[in-house]
Amino acid sequence: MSMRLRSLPARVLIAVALLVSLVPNPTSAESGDACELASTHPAGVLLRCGLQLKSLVLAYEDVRRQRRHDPQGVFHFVCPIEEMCDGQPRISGWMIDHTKWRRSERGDAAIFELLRQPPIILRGAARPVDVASDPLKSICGVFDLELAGLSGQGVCYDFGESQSTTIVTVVSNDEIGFVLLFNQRNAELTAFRETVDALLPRFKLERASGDAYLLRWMMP
Amino acid sequence: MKSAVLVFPGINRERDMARALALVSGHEPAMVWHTDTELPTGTDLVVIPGGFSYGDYLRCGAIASRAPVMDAVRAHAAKGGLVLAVCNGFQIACESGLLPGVLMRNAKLKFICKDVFLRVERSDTPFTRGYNAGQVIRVPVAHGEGNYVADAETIKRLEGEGRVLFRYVSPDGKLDPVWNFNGATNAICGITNERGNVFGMMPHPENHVEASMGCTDGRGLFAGLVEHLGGAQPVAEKSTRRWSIFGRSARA
Repeated sequence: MSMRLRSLPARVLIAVALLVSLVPNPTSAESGDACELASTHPAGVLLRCGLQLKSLVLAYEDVRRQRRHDPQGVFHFVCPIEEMCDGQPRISGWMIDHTKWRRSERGDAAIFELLRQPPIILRGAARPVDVASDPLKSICGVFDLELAGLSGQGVCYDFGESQSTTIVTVVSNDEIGFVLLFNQRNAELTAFRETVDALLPRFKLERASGDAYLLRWMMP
Repeated sequence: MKSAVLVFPGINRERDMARALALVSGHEPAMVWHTDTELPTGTDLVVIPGGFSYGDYLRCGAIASRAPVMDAVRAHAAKGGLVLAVCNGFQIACESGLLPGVLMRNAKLKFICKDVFLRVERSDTPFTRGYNAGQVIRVPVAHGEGNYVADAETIKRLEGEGRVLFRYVSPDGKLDPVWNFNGATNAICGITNERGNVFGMMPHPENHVEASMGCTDGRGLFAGLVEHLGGAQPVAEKSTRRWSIFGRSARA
């Protein structure tokens, strides 16, 4: 006797079972935990949450600067006409594993540890497996900040001989996280911090809506 | 000659360096991971190769300089052991205090990848004895931050103590701002520490060691090291190219 299901009721039963398995689970679509990474961009992600797509991209609102990214997965808000950004810091950053960051102590050592890790979008990159034994020390302690609606912490590093100072900020929410570096030469720390504080409100987290936008975002 | 090549996450020239060392010395170097706290016993030469250690995201060489293996390298140097630091390795050596000064962004703020001409300033060091003083060699560079800068006192000491071993020059060996493509102070390309056992340079001699690479001018550096360390292999022939301040066919 053949093993193939020949009877009509059996076929109907299988079809119904298949259809049921394809119906989205409303709880998983609404739950933040159910989101999966669909695609990445150096400054953002496309998440698949059930049948919904959600795009989050970090932007900087300043006509003088443009967002660019390099093959190392780092984005930069550069000034195509450099003279227009005289006295302003270089700004660069990358996406981090926000869940890991949010589980950390979010202090000096945790920030330095993040700086040792490649951007999360470089999935094949070598990642240090050890923990830094001699982390850089912040010259301004650890301070709280908010950027693009994301909360985070910041530290300041001084690279004496190069007369260069870098303010490192790490921000995240439940969906995404970034490291942002602000670097400037010959900067007095207090004034530099004020400059960076003034820049923070210009960052926005763009949330895409509409299929057309998402489709464009997904195009290479 | 027993050599060790350090490997950090993001470094990408370690294989080139290992190949060059093996080719010229006849001995495969040990590859030493950044988390190691000791160098292989009997290491004569430590090489910090080029690449983008830890992505160079924070500052070139700043994070690698704090890796556990660097304590072992500092101890090796303190005992008089040889250290060769190339490109990102040079940046790491400066950031870790093995060499003075810093490497800043190139004068034109662009990443530059091309062959450049270097003048050998002296040939009585372990790193340059494979060349003749005044000889001009052609070696590739690939960096965005190779502009050597130090305070005036340090520059004065480097120059006065003969610690500048290579300078960027024109093909006929003349100092010329046009050929000092990254804007380095005094066209400085490679320097040693006070003791002369740690040497850093931005160009990549390891990429000009075989005829198939189109040039063998980098080979003299490795040949000199082998000769200095009494390697069993015969010293490789000195560069056959005659780039010299005295003309293309002469030797200084």
